[in-house]
Formats: sequence, C-alpha cells, structure tokens
Amino acid sequence: MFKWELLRGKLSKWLRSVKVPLFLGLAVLYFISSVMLSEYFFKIWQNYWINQRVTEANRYISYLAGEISTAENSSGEVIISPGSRFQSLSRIYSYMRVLILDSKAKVVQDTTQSRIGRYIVNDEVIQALGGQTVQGGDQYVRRIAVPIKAKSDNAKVQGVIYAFASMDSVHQSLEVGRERTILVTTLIGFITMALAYALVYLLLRPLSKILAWLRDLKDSETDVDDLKKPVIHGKNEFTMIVDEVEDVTHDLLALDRSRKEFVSNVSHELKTPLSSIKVLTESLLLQDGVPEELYKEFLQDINSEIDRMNGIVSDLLTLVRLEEGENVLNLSTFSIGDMTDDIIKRMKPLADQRGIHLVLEEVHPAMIEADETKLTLALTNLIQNGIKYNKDGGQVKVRIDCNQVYALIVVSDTGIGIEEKNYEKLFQRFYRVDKARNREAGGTGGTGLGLSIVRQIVTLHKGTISVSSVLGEGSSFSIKMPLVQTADTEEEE
Amino acid sequence: MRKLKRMILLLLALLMMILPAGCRTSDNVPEDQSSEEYQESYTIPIYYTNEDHTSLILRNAKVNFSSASSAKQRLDELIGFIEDPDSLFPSETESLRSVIPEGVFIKAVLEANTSADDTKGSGNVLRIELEQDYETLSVTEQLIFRTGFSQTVFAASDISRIDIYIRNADGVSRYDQILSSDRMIIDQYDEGFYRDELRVTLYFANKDQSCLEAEERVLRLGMTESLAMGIVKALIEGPTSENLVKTMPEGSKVNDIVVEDGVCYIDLNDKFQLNHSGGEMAEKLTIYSLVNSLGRINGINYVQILIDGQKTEFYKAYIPIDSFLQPDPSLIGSRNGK
Repeated sequence: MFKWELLRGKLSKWLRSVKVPLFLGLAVLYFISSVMLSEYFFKIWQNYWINQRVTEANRYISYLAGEISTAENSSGEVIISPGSRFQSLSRIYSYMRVLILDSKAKVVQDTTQSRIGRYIVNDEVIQALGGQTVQGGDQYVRRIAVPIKAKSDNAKVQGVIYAFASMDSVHQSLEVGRERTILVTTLIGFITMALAYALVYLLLRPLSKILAWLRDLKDSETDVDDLKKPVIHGKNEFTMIVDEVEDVTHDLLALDRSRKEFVSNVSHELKTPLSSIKVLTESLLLQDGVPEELYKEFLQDINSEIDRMNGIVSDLLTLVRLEEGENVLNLSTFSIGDMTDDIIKRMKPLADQRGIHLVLEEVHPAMIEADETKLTLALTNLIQNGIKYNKDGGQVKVRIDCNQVYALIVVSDTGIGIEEKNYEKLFQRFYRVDKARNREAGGTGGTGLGLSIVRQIVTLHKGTISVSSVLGEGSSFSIKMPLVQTADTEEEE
Repeated sequence: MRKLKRMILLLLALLMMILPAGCRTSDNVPEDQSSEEYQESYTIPIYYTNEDHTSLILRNAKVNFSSASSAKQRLDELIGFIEDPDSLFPSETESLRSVIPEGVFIKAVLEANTSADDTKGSGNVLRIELEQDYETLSVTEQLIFRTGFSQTVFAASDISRIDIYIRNADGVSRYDQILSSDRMIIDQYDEGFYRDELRVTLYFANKDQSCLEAEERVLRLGMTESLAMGIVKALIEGPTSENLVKTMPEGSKVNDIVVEDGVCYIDLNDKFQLNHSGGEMAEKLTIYSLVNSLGRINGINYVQILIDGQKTEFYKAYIPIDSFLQPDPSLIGSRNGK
C-alpha cells in the first residue's frame, strides 16, 4: 500500500514534466508519418501492379484477337473460333475471364464455360460492337472490350472479346504486405519511441541541472560565486538562462550589498557626530567648575554636530524619496537664468566668506519645463560643492545654454579638482574622495549625499550629468536636460 | 414517324373491325362511364436509347390501359410508347430516342404459339416485319433494337417469342428470333455482373452408403472460377440435405482442374487419397460422385483423376483410376434420381 502511493506520486510528477508532451508529440508524429508514408507507398505499388496487370491483359487480348477466325456457315451465320490456345492460355492468365460475343452480343465462348448462351448488352459491349476498344472498371476488376473485325473488311464488326481482369490477388498481396508493415512499423515504433524518450531526456537534462542549481542558490548560505555553475554543453538557450540568472543574482546581491552598505554608512555617518556630542557632553558633565565660555564653546560644537546630523537625515530622506516612487515632478515652466540668479544671491554670503566669486553666464536664455524646487536643490548642491572644494578667492561659474531640445547647465569651479579614476564613484552615496574632509571645521563637512541627490534629480528629468576635471585647476559638472517633459518634444520650438 | 403512325392507326382500325362481336358492351364509347370499362394503370419498364445509339436507357412508365382493351390493342399501344418517348417523357425529348430505327418498321402481328418451335411455355408469338433497309443498319443499331424491343415486350406481356422478318423483293424471310427465355444482361456492373449463378446437380452418397443420390443446387461461381471447379468444391463442402452423406474425404483439395477435348483432368491433393476410410463401395461412391457430377457438364465426357499430379493405378485398394473414367448411371439410386 505504502509503496503504491509513492509510485503514484512519482508517476503524477513525471506526467507533469515537459518531457511527456514532447515525447508523446514525437511518438504521434512518428506514427502519423510512417502511416502516411506506407499508405503512399502502397498506393504506388497498387497502381503499379494494376497497370502491369492491365498491360499484360491487353497483350493477351491482342494475341487472342489475332488468333480468332470467323467464318460464315451455310445459313449465313458467322461462326467465331477462338483458336486452339484459348482454353489453355486462360489457365496461365488465371486472373482473367474472357468472353467472346457475336454480333448479337451473345456469349459464344467463355473461359469458365458458365455464361455461354447469355447475352450481354451493356454500354461497353455496344461501343465495342461499334468498332471501339473500350476500357472500364475500378481497382478491383478491370474490363476490356475489343471488337472482332472481319479480316477482309476492317469496318465490319463481327463480335466482341469482352475480358475481365481481377485485381484480387494484387489486393491480397498488398493486404499481407500492409499487415506486415503495420507489425514492423509498430516494432520499429517501440524502438523509435525508446530512442525518442532518450533523446528528449538528454536534451532536457540541462533543465534539471538548472533546477537543482537554482534550488541550491535559494537555500545556500554561501556566496553565489562559490556555487558551481551547472555544466551545460554548447551555447544554447540553457546556457543563456544560466548566464542571465547569474547576472540577475549578481545584480540582486550587489543591490543587497549596497543596501547593507548604505545602512552601515548611515549608522557610521550618524555615529560620528553622536560620539562627538557624547564626548563633549561627558566632558562637560565630568568636570566641575567649568567656565561659562567653555560651556558655550562646547555647546556650540554640540549644536553644529546636531545640525550636521539633521542635514544627513534630511538629505537621506530626500534621496530616498527621490529614489522610491515618490517621483512625481511638480512641473512648471520657468527661466533657468532667474532660478540660478536666486540661488547665487542666497549663496553669496557663503561664497564671500572665502572670497569666491559667483558668476552667471547666460549664453542663451532658457525656459524649461521642470520641477523648480528639485532643480533648485540640485543646482544649489552643485554650487555649494563648487564653493566647498574651491581655492580661496576662486570662482564658481554657472553657464546656461540651450538648443531646440535640450538645456545645458555647466557649473565649473577653480578648485582642487578630481582624479579621473574617481569620476564614477563621485555620484555614489556618502562617497568623498578624501574621507578626512569629514569634519573639518567650516570646511567641507557635508553629508556626502549631495551629488547622489543631484544625479537623482537630473535622472528624474530624463537628463544626464557628467563631470570633467583637471587636478589642481578645477572641475566642471555638466547637466543636460530636455526643455520639455511632456511627450511631444519634437513639436516644440 | 408519320408513316409508322399511319400504319398503327390502320392496324387499330382493322382490329376494331375484327375484334368486336363477343361479349363486350359499349367498349368503344370512351366517355361513357356507365359501362364496366375502367382504366387499369401499370408501371411498365420501357427501353429507349440515346442520341448516338450507344446505350440502352431504361425508364419506368406509368401507363393506363382500358380494362376492355385486347392484348393486341395493348401491344399496339406499347409499341407506340416504344416508338415515341415524347408521349410519356416529354421533358426528356432531347435525350431519349426510340430503339426502333426510323423507317424500317412495317407491322407487328400477334400469333398463337405453333408448337413447331420448342419454346418454353405457351405464350404468344409476336411476328415483326421490317423493311429490307434493316439489314443495312449497323450492328449496334440492330442490337439495340432487338434487345430493347424484346425486353420491353417480354416484360409487359405474355409473349414468349419474337420472330423478325425482312421484307424484300422476293417476299418475307425470317431474319432473327428472340426468345423470352434468352437471358440478357443489361444492368451495368451490379453485384452479380461478374459472377454466374447456375443450377447444377450434385451426386452425394445416400444415408446407408449404398448408392448415389442427386441434389440440385444453385452455385454462385467466382469470376474466374470454372463450373467444374465450382462443382468439385461443392462436393467437398458436402450436401445440404440431412439424408445425404459427403463422399469427399476431409482435407481434400483441388490442385488443378482442366477440361480439354472432352476430358476433364482433375488433380487432387494426397489427403483425398489418404483420408478416405476405405472399403470397395465407399471408394466407388467417392470416385463416381465426382465423375458423375462432372459428367453432367456440357463438354465433359471423361474424367481423369490425378493425385498430386501423378496418375495412380488404384484410388485406394479397389477402384482403378489410371485411365479415363466415364459416368456410371447405375450407381445412381432410384429415390431422388433424375
């Protein structure tokens, strides 16, 4: 009982496999094509044999016609003599029945003797008596009617040779052949089906390998790269599946890693100001008789650390919101130049601190359809960076240009520059070329999220951002954005 | 056509003068319904031909005869139908033609049967006189006339013989004769077209194996099966009657059977010899059931028996079979004997 259940389970599982319809399909195809093929051959054989027989019969009839002699007796009646070989020949052509009829369609000779004296007056006989050779019949019996003409006068018809050729033995042989063929076809069929199943099984083995591999991937604690890729020969759909799955897995793992990294980055970033605050606070608490100025100084430090943490948290929130589905752009049409102007006005105090000039160059005034708030934020970040990483007395220039389709905003500075190898990583979260710049007082503090935010905003607007730089001389960030967000960009001026 | 129609009218007129007297009352008053005369309707098969005279076409016609009309009158009407397909099948004027060739028909006379000719039954004889032109008609035209006309007439009347005469300069001479017993195959290739059914007499042994008794049977022969073969096969099968006993041993088979110059050579397998139980009378009955049955075939006078192709001296122990055997009527019992 127990084993039966197991067997049934295994059977139903096997039945669901894709191998089954494939294999059954092949089997059906085999049988259909072999049946069709053999039927075709049998048809050809049948026709060939029947034609052979008809040709042979015609020859025999011609011979008989040559042997027949007619003579008029005393009362003017025509007597038809079939020749001496009439009966003996008929035994050789045992599939034939030959009747000789006179001009009144009466049977005067018959190879089986049984119809002598009867009249046959059908279309074929009538036509033959009219001088025509007529053939008729079907695949079972073929009929020939040949006129017997007077030797002296070819136009005078004195009788008819009416012959029937039976195709029975042809059909019998074919039947035997057919039965044998069915037997052989079935036998070969079994072998073919076995081979077909083996073929299907072998071809689809990669599938089970892939399945096993995927299960291991799912369960495994180990890194995907350590897991052995299934061995599949060739470069086919299966290997492509494996490669794609590998890529997807890597991407997912990378994503996972970056998330973990992100969390650890965030905690790290927050831990630093928190520990500063802790140190400052504890030192205040542990000491007695601390002068008021010291308190104020420490509290100011604590305050700025708190501000820093706030900055980090709100930047994070901005970034996260930008990345995750809250990407609704609040579109309005405005002048980039005007927007930049406002930003520069706001940034001026910061720039003045180090004597940095802020310049706006409008090569071509540009009206853009965009989310003003977000774009302001992006540009503010870029300009802020330009100020932060600049030399004292240097310059930050914003150049605005546009054509029919795109707006181009270039923010360049005369700062310290960025190594080319760092270009890619620049826009990553929390990335700073020099980690030491973290906590320089009044220095380039910041959250490390600025460029990530800029890029996210630019991407949302379907734009692109790129960077180029010369070490020691300065960097420039170029933003290229479509002037219009809605679909018919082609139609706009 | 006109000549024929005139002829018929003349005939009818003549007949109307001849027939009369007798017991008929008011038979020539067509509209008088008060008499006992009424219309009888029949379905008669009539043969026509096609336009080029290459085929016989059968039509079943519904005709009405007056109950008071004579055989001759009916015959004349019938001939009229044969001649004029239009009258019965007006819609087929294009395709139907009369089997009677134009311009040859003179007259038809009904005669009583003179027993000089050995015709079966005592039906009437129809005498047809034709113009000499008939002789010049083609073989097929003559054939279509003789077949179509005779079969129509035989089916619709009790005429048993048709004599066809040709009128020439010297008078009339008989040209052709058709009997109602002549079996004509006109149907095209039906089931029985290739097979022949013959009534034969077979000889089996009687119950106490003392003599041969005849059994009549209808044999259906295969297309290429000879009558001799059919008879021997039937003997091997055995009798249908319970009073008769099979004479052929079990497992007997005919290897070959040939008829030549009045001799039937029959080659049987060895089981025919080996499986026989033996005994003089039994042997005799076996051999002569064969010989007597075959002897009834027209053209077979002697039978030569071979066993697996070889001539043997004796069948088993008693009956010599090395020479031609003739049918022996003395073995046939008196009970159902011919």
